[in-house]
Amino acid sequence: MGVINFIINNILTQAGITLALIALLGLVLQRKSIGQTIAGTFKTLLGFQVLSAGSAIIVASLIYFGKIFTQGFHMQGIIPSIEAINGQAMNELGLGSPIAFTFLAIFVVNIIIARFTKWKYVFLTGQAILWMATMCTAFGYFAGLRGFMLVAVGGVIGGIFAVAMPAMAQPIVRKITGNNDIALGHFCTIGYLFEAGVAKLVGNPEQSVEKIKLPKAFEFLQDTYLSVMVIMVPLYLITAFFAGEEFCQPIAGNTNYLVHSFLQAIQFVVGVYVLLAGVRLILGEIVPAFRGIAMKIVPDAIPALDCPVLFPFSPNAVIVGFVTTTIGTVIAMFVLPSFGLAMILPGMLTNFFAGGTAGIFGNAVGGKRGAIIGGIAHGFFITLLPALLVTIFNTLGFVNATATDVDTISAALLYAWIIMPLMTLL
Amino acid sequence: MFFWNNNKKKQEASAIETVEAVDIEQLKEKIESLKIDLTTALGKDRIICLNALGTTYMEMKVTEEAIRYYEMSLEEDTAFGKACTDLMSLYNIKRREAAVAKDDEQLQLYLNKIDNLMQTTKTIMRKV
Repeated sequence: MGVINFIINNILTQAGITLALIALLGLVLQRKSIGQTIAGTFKTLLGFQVLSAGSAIIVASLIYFGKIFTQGFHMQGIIPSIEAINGQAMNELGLGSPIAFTFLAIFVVNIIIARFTKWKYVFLTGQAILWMATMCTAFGYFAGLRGFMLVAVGGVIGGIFAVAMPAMAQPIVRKITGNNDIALGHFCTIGYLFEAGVAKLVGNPEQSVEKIKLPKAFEFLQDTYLSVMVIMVPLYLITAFFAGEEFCQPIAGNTNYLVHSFLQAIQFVVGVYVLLAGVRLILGEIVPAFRGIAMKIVPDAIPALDCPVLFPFSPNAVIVGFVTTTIGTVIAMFVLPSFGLAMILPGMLTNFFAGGTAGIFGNAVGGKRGAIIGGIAHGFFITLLPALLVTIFNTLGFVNATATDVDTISAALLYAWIIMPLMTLL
Repeated sequence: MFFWNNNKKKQEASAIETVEAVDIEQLKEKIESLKIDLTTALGKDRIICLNALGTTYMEMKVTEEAIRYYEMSLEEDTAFGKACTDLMSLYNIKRREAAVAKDDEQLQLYLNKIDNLMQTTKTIMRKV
């Protein structure tokens, strides 16, 4: 009994060890050699430590940003970063182990649904499942769920999303790709369908954006971290300028306050780089192991893949989607505070990947007019939803960040608006 | 009448088989012609040739050869096009076959090929 208690209280509560054990299970089930199993298990453990280090770097930068933004603009400035949310949830908030178990549970529920129902979608984007597990766990915890129920409810909700989102997008994905071989596994699908809805009302699918020649896209997009830096550096500098030298200089110490602000912006980018390196190490062993198992259990599965799978079918629409979604997010940034919501700053990575994919949906349904008008509406929509969660994130202890992927936000709103009131009644 | 209906179905089926056999023969001739063109084609013409070979083998349902030519096309000209879009379908066909045959090695091979293709897609998109 003492041994079991020791394992539960000292081993399974350690997120890194839990994740490593999940990787070990996957590697053993795949009958990998002892060497590969040990290497894979330790790489996963290492990945979690790298993720934690990245999270600590991001949080320090966000705390600084929060102070200067409030001083400069007299409101809360929120950076949309699902990576920052995941890092804080797994590390600072101590939800790492439940998140790891929920990650596995989502996978298992997805396979069960695909195996025994007509919806044969198997969600293969490991990173997206991790973000969904994070949101389900954080908001399940907020709703009062603990232990097994926290993981089970998160697994069921996440697993249903993992099948339902690809299924809902599939009619339009079939139109885009011309076949039913692949599905879309990206938890921004509600946003894509929103843009498609707007595009259907305003657009004409005969006038595709692929028929026009667009100028080259911005070169900074060629590198993920460069594109984050292009936004964060001006943002931090402008905010420090508005906060003023008198407020910022004591924080900066012997360094000029604007130089200090610049370095804090770079620190944020570094934090994201380190955190994502950790995520890749973690998922690098777990995802290949479990997706191999999933594909064997459901041989007629339709794999739900990450959003770049659609880019080759409509590259102009990606550019239009990115630009128009960015316009929409900037509009929302200024409009939403007038309704008492926080100022959500634009997230470049989301605007490129989610905005770009939404552009493909808009163009498929409503041509270039659909892609343009739908894109602006999409940008507003994907800024509004995270704004609704800011108060809860603050209560939970997250620092100046909010989530980005709208499907994960919808799952969180499900907890906040339905599950929590139900828990209160019970 | 019952037997006449059966005879009609047999005649239709054999007519379809004859049409398919002729199609296959035509496709084989097309492949031979394209392979000859490939020996001398350069630059864009070579890419068009490689893609045409990939497409023709795909029509003939010779998946491995279709993959081979499309992969050559993508390696020589890393850009969006038929190679990119058709390779995803072809990798999925092979992935499904491996899953049904419970061949772990082939399953992982094609899942990794799908991963690499998506990474290539991201890289191409950033340079568009």
